[in-house]
Amino acid sequence: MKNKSFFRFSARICGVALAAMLMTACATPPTDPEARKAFDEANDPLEPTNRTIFEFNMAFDKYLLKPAAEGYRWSLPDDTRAVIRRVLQNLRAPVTFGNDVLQGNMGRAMETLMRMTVNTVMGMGGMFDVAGQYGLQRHEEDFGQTLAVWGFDEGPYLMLPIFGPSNIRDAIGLGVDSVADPLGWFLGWPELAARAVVEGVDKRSQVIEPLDELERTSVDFYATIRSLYRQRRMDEINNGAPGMNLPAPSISYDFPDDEKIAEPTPTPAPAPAAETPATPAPSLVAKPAS
Amino acid sequence: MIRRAFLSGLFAVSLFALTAPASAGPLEDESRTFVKGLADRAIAVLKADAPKAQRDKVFEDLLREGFDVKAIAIFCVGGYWNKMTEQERQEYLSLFEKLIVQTYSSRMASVYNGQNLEIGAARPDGKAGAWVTSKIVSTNVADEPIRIDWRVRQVDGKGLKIIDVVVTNISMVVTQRDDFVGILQRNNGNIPEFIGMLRDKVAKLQTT
Repeated sequence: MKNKSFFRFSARICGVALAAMLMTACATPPTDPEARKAFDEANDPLEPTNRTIFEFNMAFDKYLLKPAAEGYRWSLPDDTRAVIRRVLQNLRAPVTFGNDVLQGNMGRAMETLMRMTVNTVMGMGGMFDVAGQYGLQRHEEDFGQTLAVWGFDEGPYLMLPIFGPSNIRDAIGLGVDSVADPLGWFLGWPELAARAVVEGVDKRSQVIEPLDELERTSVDFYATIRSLYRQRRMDEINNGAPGMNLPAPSISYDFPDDEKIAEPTPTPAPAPAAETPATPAPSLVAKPAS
Repeated sequence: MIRRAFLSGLFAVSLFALTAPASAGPLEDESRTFVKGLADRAIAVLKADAPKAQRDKVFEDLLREGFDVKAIAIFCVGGYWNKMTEQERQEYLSLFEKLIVQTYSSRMASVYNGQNLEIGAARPDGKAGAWVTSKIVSTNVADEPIRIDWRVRQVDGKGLKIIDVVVTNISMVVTQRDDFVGILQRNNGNIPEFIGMLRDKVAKLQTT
């Protein structure tokens, strides 16, 4: 009941976003085979639109989110922010629990349930991670991950306004989680929105330096974020199991390309163009020149 | 007598039991030592809070010594390597090395806060390679450790080389490739333009 206006509000946003996406022309696949391969791998047919939204998000971040995150970090001591973060994480637990169950992972579901109970009761509403001291480690699940476990493909990459990087599957997951969140039974949309804001600011405040550095050192920040998002989601879906996310091409480090070129140019080391003192140009296949 | 034989037998068995879990092949053991040696040097310079030029130099040495830079560089441009002229390749390789030094020297300096690296187990990776696991442990016990896996392989005539660093299952090499290939795909494989962008990026990073 309380949520009705919230639903209508989010439904309208979704509608507008969808319409905007459909109206925008998709990127035309390149004809060059190499570019075509890269295009398919990026799985980002909506790239022009996504980049526009990314620009908007960057501006939003520059003028609103990042200053808010900096202010948050500057004004509150570490301990206080840690308490706030734990409360927020505890509030996420019902969603994680539901998704643990939906993924058929009863062990992790029990863990989440126990953490939630112990921390809410003994940890004073989640302010303190009492369960963690008993070895019950926190983890998070969302409906996007559940869909992935059920075998849904990620679908094309999506840049959501404000929410940031996503894809069709995770965007659906985001919607389902926010509608199904049991917290919605108790709170109205202003409270839920307030939580979302604090959560966003808190999360942003944890990555101020890493994101600055990433932007500074990336040649194409958009493509870097896209790659990181995909790899991180893969890790989350696999619950941190090692080595699961490396795509097949990178497993073969045999570099057939290098061998191919090494044939016509066996020793690039004594290159006539003495313009490259920086690289000793170690050829992998050609025998050591020395 | 019997008792002594029994005891020494027990001793031998327990010794075997103790060493068995760690009895990964020599390549795995070597890889662990190798990664530890490189990481210790990186941490030492970070801990000393050395000036940028000095730090960059250490990272450059570490990169050249410890990484198969050329293999990584080739991987990072995907099939576009085949489309480069010899001159473009040389310039790309040179810029790539500089970019990586600058990137990681400044990235690590900006996030380093007294953490230590603990080397964990190693497992084989193909015929001549190993994955070395490790974790970054913060001095603040509340921080969760960060997992870092090092992909090491034996390169003919050059010994062990790192070919990927994977932080919480995020591959640095794959991320770099997606960055580069993303550009090349968007600019229709315009290699001179791509190299120009790298040149600008490196120049910018070196001065700041």
